[in-house]
Amino acid sequence: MSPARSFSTRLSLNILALTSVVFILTIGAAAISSHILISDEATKSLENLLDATIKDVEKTLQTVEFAVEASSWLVAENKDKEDYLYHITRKIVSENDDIVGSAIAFCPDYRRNRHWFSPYSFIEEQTGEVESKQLGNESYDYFGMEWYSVPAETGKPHWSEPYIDEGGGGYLMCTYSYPIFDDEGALYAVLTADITLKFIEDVLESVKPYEHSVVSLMSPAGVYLKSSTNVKKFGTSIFATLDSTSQQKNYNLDNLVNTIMSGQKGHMQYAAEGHLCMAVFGPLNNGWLATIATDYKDVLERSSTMRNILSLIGFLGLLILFLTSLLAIRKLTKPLSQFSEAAQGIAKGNFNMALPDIDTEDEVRQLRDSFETMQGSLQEYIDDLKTTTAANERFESELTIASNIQMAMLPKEFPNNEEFDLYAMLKPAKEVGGDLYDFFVRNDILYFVIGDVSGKGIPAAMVMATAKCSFRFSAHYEKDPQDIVTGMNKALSANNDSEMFVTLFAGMLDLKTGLLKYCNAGHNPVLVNGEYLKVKPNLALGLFREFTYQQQEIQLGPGSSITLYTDGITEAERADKAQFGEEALKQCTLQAKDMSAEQTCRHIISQVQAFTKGNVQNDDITIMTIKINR
Amino acid sequence: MEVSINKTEVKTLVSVIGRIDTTTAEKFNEAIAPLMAPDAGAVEIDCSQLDYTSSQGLRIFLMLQKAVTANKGSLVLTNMQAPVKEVFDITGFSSIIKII
Repeated sequence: MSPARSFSTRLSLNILALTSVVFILTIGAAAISSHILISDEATKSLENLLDATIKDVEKTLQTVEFAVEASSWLVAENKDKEDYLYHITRKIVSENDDIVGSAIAFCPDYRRNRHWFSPYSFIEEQTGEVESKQLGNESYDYFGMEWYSVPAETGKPHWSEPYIDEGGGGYLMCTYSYPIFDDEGALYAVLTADITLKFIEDVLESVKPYEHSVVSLMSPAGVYLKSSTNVKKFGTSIFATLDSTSQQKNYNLDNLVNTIMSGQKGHMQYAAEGHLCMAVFGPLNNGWLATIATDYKDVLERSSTMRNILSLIGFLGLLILFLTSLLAIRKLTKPLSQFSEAAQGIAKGNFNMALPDIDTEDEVRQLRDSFETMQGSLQEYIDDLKTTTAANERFESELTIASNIQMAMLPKEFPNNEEFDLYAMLKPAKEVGGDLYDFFVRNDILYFVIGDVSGKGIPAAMVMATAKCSFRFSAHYEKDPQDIVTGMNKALSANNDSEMFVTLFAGMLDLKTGLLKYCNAGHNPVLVNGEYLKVKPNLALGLFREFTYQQQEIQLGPGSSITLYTDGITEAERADKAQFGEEALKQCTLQAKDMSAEQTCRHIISQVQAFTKGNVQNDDITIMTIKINR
Repeated sequence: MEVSINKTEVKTLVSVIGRIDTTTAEKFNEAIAPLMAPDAGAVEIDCSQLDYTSSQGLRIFLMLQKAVTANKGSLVLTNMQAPVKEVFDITGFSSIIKII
């Protein structure tokens, strides 16, 4: 199992994936809410800043207004004292730092022989001294100038549009004009104060909320008075902004300019040159307009910084989570791989494989205990199996030996001489069986026997051995088959508590005369020349010790054949329980009329096998054929 | 192989159905064990449905005969099919066990 695909890695990755989803959602929500929060906050702080800036400017302007208004009664008191009028203007200029010039412009022809009369004091730029002169003349016809005409017509104080004072030294100037009326309410003079807008520069320069912020001040007509960083030069109209933007009409910006020009206070987002921007704006007392424009990117920089920090923390957190969960899960699942090794070891037959030590009382511990139990059970089972197998092997080898011994008890050399031809075959159903045959020749007499012990296997085999020995023993002493069989019965009946019995056919063939004497002990009748011999059944051996067996005899001629068999032949079964039967056997012997004894036996066996078609042989099979040659 | 035993006041009626061979001999032996008890009395075995008996079956019939004789009871086999009767005849068991 490669580490990349291990259970712990997969589980850790799953946890990581799930946590990542939750984390990304959280970061997203935090980013959105911080975005909203920060932009709200920025708007508020920009508005506050704008208010402060406006107040700053207004303070200076009010100082000027106050100075002018305070001096207006002096003019009224001393309107006929020419020298004093000059004194008033000098006083206004010298006592107010912001005021660089002051004039008392009288109405046309108010003073006799003087179409223009306007005492004027100003600060000489070179020397810095206050100087005075009469301002109006043919080349300086002030009656048409804004600073005079507007208050003259409206009868109200007025701040002029800014202008460059060409006469006074190239300052950007602005003039406050205050109309003065006589007791009848008729205008007779306009008292003015000039200020340079230099102070605005200082105020605006000090306002720097964001890197790319632009703070601007405009006249009521939308002309820029001053703009921080000189982005907007004096005299540029705000409406020029609209023309200089992209060729497509920017309704957004249109809307902004209109809103600003309407003198409202507020804030607005807009797009300029592909940037999302925000502007806060508001009017001053005197009708001027102040704006602070900021690239939104700057505003959100803090938000994105916050988001980046959050992301970094989150990423590190996820990394730590992944590593710790990987380690923890690997530690938890480590026993699994050890169990796997143990199982493989067990599969190879090593039941003493070491199991991991589990300290916890959980499923893994249960698994370990089960494993241990399994190891123990397997070991026991295998030990039992070894013992049983050893016993079975010993038993089987003993059976093989027993089988060899039993087969060795049967004669294997079959005579085929001028007198007779004899052959026999015996096939036990198991390793050892209860069938037997035997023969020998003594004094020109062929002694032969075929028998079948009840049952099969080892018990039958032991009785078979006894039966065969007792046949040889009895045949050695007795001269007739009935005596041989009776003797055998006595031997087999003795102490036969298990009621085993033997059916048997014993014969004595006189090879000189062809006379066959025989005794049947409960055995199947033999076939002589293809016909079943009529036999007295008598009784199977081993049942009643005192039973008297009776023999029979038949005269056989040359060429006669005798076929003996056990019921394993006639009762050989097919799968459908049909038996080979006596008639089939009889036909076999008829077919084998001209065959040798061996050919006859083999023919019968092959016919039986052809009949059973491989069905398991469930009884011992024995066949013996004797052919008389002479 | 099935054995049914029906005990009446007069005798014990037994019916054997099927085959007695290597695989069923032990079962047959166990089934007729009650008949070897001292109080079995007169035993009559209906063999009309007994299809086959091997030498192991014969041995059990023989043991039953000896037990019944020892218990002073009686045993008779009835309605035996011809092939089965032939086995009893060949082995001489017909002369030991009463078959009608």
